Amino acid sequence: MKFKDWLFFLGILLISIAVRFYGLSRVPVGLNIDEASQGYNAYSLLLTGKDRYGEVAPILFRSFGSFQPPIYTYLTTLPIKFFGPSIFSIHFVSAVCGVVSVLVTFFIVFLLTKNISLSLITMLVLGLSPWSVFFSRMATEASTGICFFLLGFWALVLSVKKSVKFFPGACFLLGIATHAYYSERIVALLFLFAFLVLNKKFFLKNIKYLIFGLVILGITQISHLLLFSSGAFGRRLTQVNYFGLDSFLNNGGDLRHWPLGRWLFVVREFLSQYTAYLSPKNLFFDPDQQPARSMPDISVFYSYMIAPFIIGLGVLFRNMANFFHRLLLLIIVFGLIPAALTFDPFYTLRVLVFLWGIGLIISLGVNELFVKLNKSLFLGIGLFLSLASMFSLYKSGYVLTKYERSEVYGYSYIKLLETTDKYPNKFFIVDSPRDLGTGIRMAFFKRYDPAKLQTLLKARMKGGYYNAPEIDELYSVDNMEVRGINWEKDLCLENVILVGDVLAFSETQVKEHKLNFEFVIKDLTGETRLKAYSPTLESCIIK
Amino acid sequence: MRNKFWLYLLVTVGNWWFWRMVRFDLVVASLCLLLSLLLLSAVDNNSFGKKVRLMGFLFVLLVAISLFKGSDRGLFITQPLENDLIEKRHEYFAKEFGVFYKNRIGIFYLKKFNPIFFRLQKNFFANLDIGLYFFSSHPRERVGVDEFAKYPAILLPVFMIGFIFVLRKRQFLLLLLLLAGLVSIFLHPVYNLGPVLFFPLINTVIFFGYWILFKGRIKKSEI
Repeated sequence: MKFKDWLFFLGILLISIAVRFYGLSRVPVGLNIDEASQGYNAYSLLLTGKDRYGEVAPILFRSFGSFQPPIYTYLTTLPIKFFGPSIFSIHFVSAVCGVVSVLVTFFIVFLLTKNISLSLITMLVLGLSPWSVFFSRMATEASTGICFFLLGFWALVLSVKKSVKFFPGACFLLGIATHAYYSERIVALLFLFAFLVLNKKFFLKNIKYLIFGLVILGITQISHLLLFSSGAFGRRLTQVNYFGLDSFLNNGGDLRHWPLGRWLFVVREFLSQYTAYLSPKNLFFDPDQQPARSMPDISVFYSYMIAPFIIGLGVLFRNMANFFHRLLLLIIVFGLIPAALTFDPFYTLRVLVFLWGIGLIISLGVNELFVKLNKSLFLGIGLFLSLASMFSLYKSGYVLTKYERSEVYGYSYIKLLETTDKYPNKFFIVDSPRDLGTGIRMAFFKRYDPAKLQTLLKARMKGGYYNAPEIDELYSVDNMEVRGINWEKDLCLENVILVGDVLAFSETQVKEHKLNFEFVIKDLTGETRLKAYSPTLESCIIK
Repeated sequence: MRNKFWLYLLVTVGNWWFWRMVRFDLVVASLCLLLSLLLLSAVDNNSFGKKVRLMGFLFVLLVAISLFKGSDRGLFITQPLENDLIEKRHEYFAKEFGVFYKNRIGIFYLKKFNPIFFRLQKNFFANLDIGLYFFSSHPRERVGVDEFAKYPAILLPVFMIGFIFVLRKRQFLLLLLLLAGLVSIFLHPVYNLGPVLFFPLINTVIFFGYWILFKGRIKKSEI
């Protein structure tokens, strides 16, 4: 690499770090349900070696009716150890994974193409891609999933380009990726298999390393095999797939009356879900519908990227003999399979590997323009678009996410904690049916003793740790109980303050029950989110 | 050539979209039929010749009818709800961007430029959705829109094969796609006949898909 290339490399790396770490403790302004769960489990593991249910070193973490893949939680123990339990610590692993992914992408592309401009362009495209930046700033297992997948991919490429000794390492990393996120269980294994088929002559010549690598991969899968029949292994898929009879009867439409209708329904669902991810409208304009998985006004890529995407597709398909292009196509084809098996439309979190592939296609298009256009013109347009992208990221990802998405991350409940400190002699009952993460969020921010919470939750656990997890968990944290309000009993309790969102208390309810107004909590937009009332003696008599 | 004509015709009328046009607007249906057949014949034979003028005329006519019947009249009008959002965002930007926002350019960007640019993009991308053509927009159906099926889902693989061929060998079709897309930014995405300007282009892509499937591959001389 020339000095000029190193400068570009360092510049892009710094930008990638900056957009991922800038204000990481402030935006997002809190923790969503999954983040709070991972954060508290990591805190609990660090202090007691057990998760919040008292399970020693779980293979999957039981949480609100499902199970969370373990790698993110285990890795989060490190930042919690060094920085304490905070929003920053929980988001830290994702941000690091995001930067590592950008770096590894450069090495993968350079190793495969020996094209420095394409490698740098790819690094820049990934470094500033909205999906990559957004998911790097929130604690999600998918960030570790793609990071380990890319590390495994890099090791795979090294094994055929440099030395076959990298192959066992690649198998290990891809095996770890299957523990990092659900999608990688399918994508990593399919990709490895296809990679071996593409390079079968090479690996058959190095059969010892092939067998050694596959044995290592097998060892990484033992824990999955142990859980296979428990229900925990496939729990998430059973929650989100459309293969069941109920799904067919509810959504099958006319196909319900057709012969083989159920099969046709499954095929139609699969194809429609699959193509939803390929639609330019979804990739370049419409954000993911779930506020917790998207930024306002911006999709997974910037809208202007549609032009290099189309050009990149042309480049990709015009030269399918190219090894790099073949691998890219495999990533695109396999990367969508896990998401297409579920009924959620355009669920971006499940397709990060695919989005990475789309980023590479966009880079191919940008590189084509770099080759064909005048260099000064290209650099001018490139600089303008990079600045526009950073402005968009700041506007949507920082400013608008901070204000308009604050409730997704439980901002008002965090503010509630500050207010409750002013009432040390009061007991709070926090109504929670519309935000299941309230209790665990409270426990995390109050740094509630994990040993006490373990006793509480373990006692309520029905069945084994890996069987039938409850969706609604009841939390009692210091002077606070997080549960639905019992309008029969709670009105007769003394020194109690009832807290709930705007739907929890209607005006007539307040009047009928003679409740005393205590305080309100507003979100960052100034809207009232939580109301607090205390029952009076009359409340108890009237009820 | 004769066999091919039947294939052109099959592709053009062998879908639900065409028959919906016939049902609701015979003029648009006839224009689409003619344009589709002409484009298929020209692109397939890779020779436009005199057909270009006729196709251009038909396309302009179709654009004019589409604009007359389905133009987006709300493109430059800010709805009250949208206005509320803009006012709220005005506060956030003022707080976060400070002097970089609190000037004529910043306020023009938020209040004037951004809403219109957003609507233009929305109209542009509304038609670039594979689901719209093959799955009545499933699984991301649009709220308040009477989605209708345009092509049978079974044609999706044929379309994909054809699209890859277009990407490799008939890139100029992408320019036509861009042209249709640019015109459609002024059309309301819920026009009851759908994005009719895309009809001939999608048929052409499906035709190439069929052709490759039936012939195995297209000979170099045919490319």
